[in-house]
Amino acid sequence: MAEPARLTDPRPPAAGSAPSRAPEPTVRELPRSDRWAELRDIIVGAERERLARVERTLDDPSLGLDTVSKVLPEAVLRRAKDRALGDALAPVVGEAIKASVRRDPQPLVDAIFPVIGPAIRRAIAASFAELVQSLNTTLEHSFSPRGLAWRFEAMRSGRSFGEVVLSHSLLFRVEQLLVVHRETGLMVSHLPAPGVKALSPEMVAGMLTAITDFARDSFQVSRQQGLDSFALGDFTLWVEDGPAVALAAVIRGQPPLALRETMQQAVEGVQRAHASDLDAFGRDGTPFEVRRDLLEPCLVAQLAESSRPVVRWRLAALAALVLLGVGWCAVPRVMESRRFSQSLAALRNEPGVVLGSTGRANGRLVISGLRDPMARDPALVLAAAGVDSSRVTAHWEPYIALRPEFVLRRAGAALQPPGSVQLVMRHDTLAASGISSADWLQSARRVAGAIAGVGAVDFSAVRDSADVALRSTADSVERLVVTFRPGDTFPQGAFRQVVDTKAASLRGLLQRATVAGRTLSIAVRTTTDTQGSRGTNAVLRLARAQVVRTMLLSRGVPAGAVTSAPDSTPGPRAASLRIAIRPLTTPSIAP
Amino acid sequence: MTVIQRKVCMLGATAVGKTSLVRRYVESLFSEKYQATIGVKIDRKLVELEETQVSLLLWDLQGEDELQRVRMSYLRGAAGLIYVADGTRAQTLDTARAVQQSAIETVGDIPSVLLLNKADLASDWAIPDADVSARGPDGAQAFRTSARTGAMVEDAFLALVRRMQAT
Repeated sequence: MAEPARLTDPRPPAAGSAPSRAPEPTVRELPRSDRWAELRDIIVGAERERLARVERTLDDPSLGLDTVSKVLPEAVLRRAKDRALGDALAPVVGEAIKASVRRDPQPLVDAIFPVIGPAIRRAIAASFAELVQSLNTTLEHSFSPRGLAWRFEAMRSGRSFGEVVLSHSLLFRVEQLLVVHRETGLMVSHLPAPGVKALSPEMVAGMLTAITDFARDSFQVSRQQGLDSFALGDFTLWVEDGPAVALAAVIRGQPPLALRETMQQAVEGVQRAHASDLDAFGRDGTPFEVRRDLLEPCLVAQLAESSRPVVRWRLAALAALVLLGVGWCAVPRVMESRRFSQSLAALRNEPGVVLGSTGRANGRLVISGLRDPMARDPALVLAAAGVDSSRVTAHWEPYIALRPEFVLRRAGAALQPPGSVQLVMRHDTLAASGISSADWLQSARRVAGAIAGVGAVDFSAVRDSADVALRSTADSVERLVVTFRPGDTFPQGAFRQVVDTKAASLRGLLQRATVAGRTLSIAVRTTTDTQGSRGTNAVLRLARAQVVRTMLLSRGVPAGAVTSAPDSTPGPRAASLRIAIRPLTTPSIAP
Repeated sequence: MTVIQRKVCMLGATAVGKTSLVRRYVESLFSEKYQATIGVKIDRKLVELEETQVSLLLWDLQGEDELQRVRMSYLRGAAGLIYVADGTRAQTLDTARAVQQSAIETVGDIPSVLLLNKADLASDWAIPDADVSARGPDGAQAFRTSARTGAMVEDAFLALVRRMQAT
């Protein structure tokens, strides 16, 4: 396009540039070209002016800045949600910030100061919260049965306890991310989750590629298709393919499908941000760092919710009920077993019982042994110990116990002694004492030696009841005494009544002795005092005995039964009787 | 120091010693027991060159025989190939050559070396030197190696790495 200045040049011609010509008339015939220019000005003059302004605007940098500055905020605002704008601006902004900090860091310090403090505090709080949660989790599982089981699992598998706790507490966790170059199968980048140890991720990437190739070849699918996922034990591996890279996530547990979308965005981000890097990597293997912020959104985890306390209480209540039930069933058995043991101990200590075998059969207690018939009934012993005898099967063989008390009991049963006789055992000798009839004594002597456990018999202390009765009467007769004055041979005072009484008693006594098979010998014993000579006193004692004997004979006492027995021992001047009772001897008859 | 990853594939007939060579190279171990490789086994070896470290990802592929062909898809992305033949079995050299043709069709003419393995069995050696160039893979530098003794194993792998880095 021709410049308008040439068409309408107002300037006068330069001096000497051309021969001066005569002034032209005011109205003249314009040249042909000028006429066209004038016509053009008339028709498109306004548009040409506008175009000239636009050209000046475009050529003038300052005017361009003004225009861009007016629309830039609005343009950025409209594309604010577009990641591409952010990706495009990121390097520029980064470089600008670096340059600014290099030049003068103070403005940046001033700018971020209001946010850096809260950010640090928040980071510290988050770290503490994570630490506390970790401690809580560890403590919670440390001493519980589940914790002990996990500790055993950790010991068995060689993994750390924390790793085992995490593996059981996680719903899922993305443990590793592998960015694999699809063309070469080489690993572009590897990002493990914190605390996860990865062994040879390059080899894992290689094997992943090999497996994918193998599957692709085996099922004859196109290059665009590949393995989406595969699972092995606790692990699931998800793969998201992009044109140049594949993102593989090694996941423990069951991940949500939303993770797929996150992985897709990450693949797209890596493709977009590192397009040229990926080309170079494919060409010559030049390594590069994949931006972590593109991958980190995929490193997610979700912990399983801990069991609610109410569930725990329910479990505790259930456990208590189970324990109560077990106790309800077990305690009576334990108590019964204890009572049974006590009863067996009592039976072992029971005299006359020898415990043999004990045991249980069909829920019943079974006992067998030896028992003396004189021993206490074992059922009573069991009952005394609180054992229900209906739950006991007992078998007792009889035997003879030689313990002294049992021999004595056996002797008592065999001899049936009267109440006035006492039986005792002195070692193996059965001894009796007391008063019995002659018949019982005779029978007892005959039987006692045959009683089991009786080695010898001693009944010498048993007195005949007839002798005892005669002796008692004789004693009362002996207590009747008549006295003499000094030198007299005839009793003094009321001696007649005394002699009458004595004589009557003696007669009765003699009759009873005869019935009892006894014989009496009655001696009239007289004593004198020490006055007078010995000879006189001897005569006097003899005379006095003769007088009393005569008096008894005159009152019906048989003469053969009474003798005079003066006593030389000094004593009172008295006469008394001494009555001896002897068994009646049968005269031997010559053959 | 920069670490560059390189994928290298071991190719050859069955029982020529591919796995043993990898094991000798990576773990410095050798076992007389033969275990056939099914599919592919991957190992890693870090090689230090002057300026760079090369992380070699060694794809030990299943051996090729009449019944089993190498899956050429496994070669995708390989930066180098190692053809392995058994020096005591001449036909394994032919197999290596045949495999090379398939490999070139898949990944092109990339750096490669030829390992004539079992050099310790000198009395049974069946491949004359003249046959190596005549019947073996084209353009591959040949090494007489022994996985049993380790002879020339390091040299062969290192030569391949240098050739890969030179391209």
